[in-house]
Amino acid sequence: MNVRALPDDDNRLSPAEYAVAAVVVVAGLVISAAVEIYDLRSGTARIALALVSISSTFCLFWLELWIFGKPATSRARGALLATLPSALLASQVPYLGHLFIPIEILASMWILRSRAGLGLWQALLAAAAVRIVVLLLVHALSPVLRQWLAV
Amino acid sequence: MRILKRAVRDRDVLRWQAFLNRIGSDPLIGLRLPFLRPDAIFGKNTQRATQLFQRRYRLTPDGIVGARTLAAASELGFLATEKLTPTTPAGPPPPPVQPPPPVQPPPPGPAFGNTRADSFRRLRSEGWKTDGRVQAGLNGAKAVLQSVEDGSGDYIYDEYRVRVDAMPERATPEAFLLEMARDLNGTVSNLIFDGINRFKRQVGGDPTVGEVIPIDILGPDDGAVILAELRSNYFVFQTIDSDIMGSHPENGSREFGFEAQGNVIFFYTRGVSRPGNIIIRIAGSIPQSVGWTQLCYGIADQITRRGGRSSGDSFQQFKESRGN
Repeated sequence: MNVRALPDDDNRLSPAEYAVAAVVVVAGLVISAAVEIYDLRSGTARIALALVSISSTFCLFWLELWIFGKPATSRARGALLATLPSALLASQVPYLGHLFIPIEILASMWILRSRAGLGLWQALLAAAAVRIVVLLLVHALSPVLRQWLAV
Repeated sequence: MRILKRAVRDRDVLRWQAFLNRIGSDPLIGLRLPFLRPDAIFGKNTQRATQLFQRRYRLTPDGIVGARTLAAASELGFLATEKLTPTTPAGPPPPPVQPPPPVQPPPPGPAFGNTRADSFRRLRSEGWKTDGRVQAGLNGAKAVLQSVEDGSGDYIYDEYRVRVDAMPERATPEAFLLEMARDLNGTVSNLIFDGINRFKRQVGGDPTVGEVIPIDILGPDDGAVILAELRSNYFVFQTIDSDIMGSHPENGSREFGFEAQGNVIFFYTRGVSRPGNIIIRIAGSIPQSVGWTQLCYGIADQITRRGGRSSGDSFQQFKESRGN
């Protein structure tokens, strides 16, 4: 039996959740445009990197939920909502940003449990793994973009 | 060369005096010796300067230039570089020779002074902007100075200092400061300071004006500074925005130095800065304060460990926001 071919459940995003997600993502992009994060002078480059961060976070959560055998509506809902804690880019605040990483992970973990039905340790592992991978990706891309823009 | 000691008169004494005058004005050596009239007479002043040299290089401070003192001097270029004015050994004392030119000519006015007011005036004016060595360093790093003018909000003037009642034996404040310029984290050796600011020099040896130093700063936003001024009693770092290394969260400059007040010495760091934006102002306030406080504690601790007398209890902090 293909465990991933489960029937869809009734776990769709509500209009309110869509609205919250839209507001948070837009706020994150506005912050990236206005504040010099990622050590990048170019606002366009910062927005691009923020989009990479948000979209890769969503894709990785979706992939994890697929691996854990969650139905399609739970995957979409869980992945989108679990992306939001890191979409505000608090971890990129100079000096104190890294202190927000555990908070982002715990918030994503809670969302994965409550909105996608993952167990405690599954949710913690999933949230931590995605946050670490995306942070490494962004930290690797930032100097590359900086040098590319400098040429 | 014969042994030089009190009352000896000859060309070798003249050579020795020229050597002491040269190293005594070299900020990188940091041995502040009184200028000796080059009269070829090994008098009281030459003897005192010789004793200071011997203490600095951990020799017996007997004021006599023997084999061991000469060996130490040779390592600093003695005999190879000292030029003599022609003299007649048996005749009267030779005419005075001109002192050697200083390594870095002092700029006019208060540039060498380092009271708090002097430092703040210097840091606020960023007079090194036109220094060719600084410009060369910036060009090499594809960088620009993060002038305090370009920051946002009020100007933050701060000072963190610690009192030293006695330097370790055979150590001078100049030498300790130069050690800090060579390796700030290594000299201070304070874990909390390391966690907030880790200066990573890319080259070894003595620091030079125009040298760019990346900093691993607490949090995601690292930065870099350029060594903007180097004197025997202070040095200055200015933040830079580099195409390669990115920008520093703060705009402005910071001075590290010491100030003698009577018999005590205060090691300090003073800064004039403006954060890049309000978020950095809020987020950076506590880490900055903790970092420079720990730097002072580290200085006190290291001086005490080496046999001097200093205490973290003597730590003092000054901080003021101004519109300009």
